[in-house]
Amino acid sequence: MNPNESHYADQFDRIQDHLDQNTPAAHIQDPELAEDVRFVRWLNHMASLSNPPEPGPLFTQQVLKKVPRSKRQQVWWAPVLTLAAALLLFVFWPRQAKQDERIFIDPSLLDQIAQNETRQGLYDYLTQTEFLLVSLREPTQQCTPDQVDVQTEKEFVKGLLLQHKSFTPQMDKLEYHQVREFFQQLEIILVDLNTLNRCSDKMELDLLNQHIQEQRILTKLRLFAQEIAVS
Amino acid sequence: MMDQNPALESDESLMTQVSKGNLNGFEILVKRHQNKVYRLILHMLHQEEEAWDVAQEVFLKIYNSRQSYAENAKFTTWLYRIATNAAIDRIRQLRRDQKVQGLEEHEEFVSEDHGPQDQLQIQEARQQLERALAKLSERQRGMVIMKYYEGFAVNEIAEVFDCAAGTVKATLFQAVRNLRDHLGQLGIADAEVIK
Repeated sequence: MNPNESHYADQFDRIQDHLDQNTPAAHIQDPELAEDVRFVRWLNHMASLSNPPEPGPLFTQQVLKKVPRSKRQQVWWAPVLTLAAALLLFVFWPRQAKQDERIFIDPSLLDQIAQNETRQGLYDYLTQTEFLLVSLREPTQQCTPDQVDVQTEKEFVKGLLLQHKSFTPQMDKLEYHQVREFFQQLEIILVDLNTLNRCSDKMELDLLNQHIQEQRILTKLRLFAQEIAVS
Repeated sequence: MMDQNPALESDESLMTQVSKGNLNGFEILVKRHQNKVYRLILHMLHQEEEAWDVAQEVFLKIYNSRQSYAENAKFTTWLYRIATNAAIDRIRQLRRDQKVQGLEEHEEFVSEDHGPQDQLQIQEARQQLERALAKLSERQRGMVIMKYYEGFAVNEIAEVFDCAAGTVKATLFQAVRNLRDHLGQLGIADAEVIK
């Protein structure tokens, strides 16, 4: 450690000692040290007021999704178990159906299934849209140095717009009222993307990305997806 | 070994299992550390979306480097070293791409326990503090955030930055002086602490 560094480290220790002993700044004789102590107290206080959002379960899910599948732990009995389950289903399922002739399913269960499917569909739609918007930030295909090739993204958008249409009637339900406005925002972005030329100016894409960032669309997407996943 | 509840196992034991291909152990590690890693990066970048991406990259890097994890190494030291390096790299990349946000676009994460007047005052002070923090070197900024925002001990910071504890203290002192000078000129830090 050079002499300067050693001096600074000593100064740090002196500040820390006063903080640990809770010495009032007015009681410290060295005015510079008193200012340092006052400042670090203020800094600690400002840091304690900071309350950033937590990433939540969606963060874990996304990390795990990105882990290469082939690298996941394989257990020897998993394929055996799957095969056994399939065999059992094959053997027992048709016979039971024949005995009953009619299969009765409780209507409330059907409602539940439909609701779950909507939720799962919404979740998939949100995560796929997120994937698309993230990939737009750094497009890899170029037409010319100033133009990017967005054909793949346009194809992807078409699918998302179809999904979007299928959810539109659901959005009138009370439980989705919070998402409705956000869905309209998303639709506008997707339509904008769909109307881009295959070879689009980088500037055009930058503007769209800027809008996405300013409106915090990705954060909202993650929050809604998270809410749907845990609801 | 996984003979006890994995959620109770130490980070090091879980990481050793991850290095042998156990994905469950990895999931526990992500859940256990994601908040702190995300917060640390967010405080360094001030952009939620960038912080989210960088934090994800950090955990993927941990997974992809699992074979190189030294069994006796402290997991958190390794994790936070990767996290701070990743945040510093992203700051440099954003600067290169000139995508660093203007102050007015910085995202504020102020606790809502105060009245609107106090909130306003705190937000103003925070903006100035963020601006002053952004003027520090990445190393100084990283250390200030770890010490004052995340409550790391000096020795822990020294391990993460791979330097002597004295160097951390000296760097922190210089950083505090830089911040103090900058904010003192604006009369920000002289304001009474709002309780």
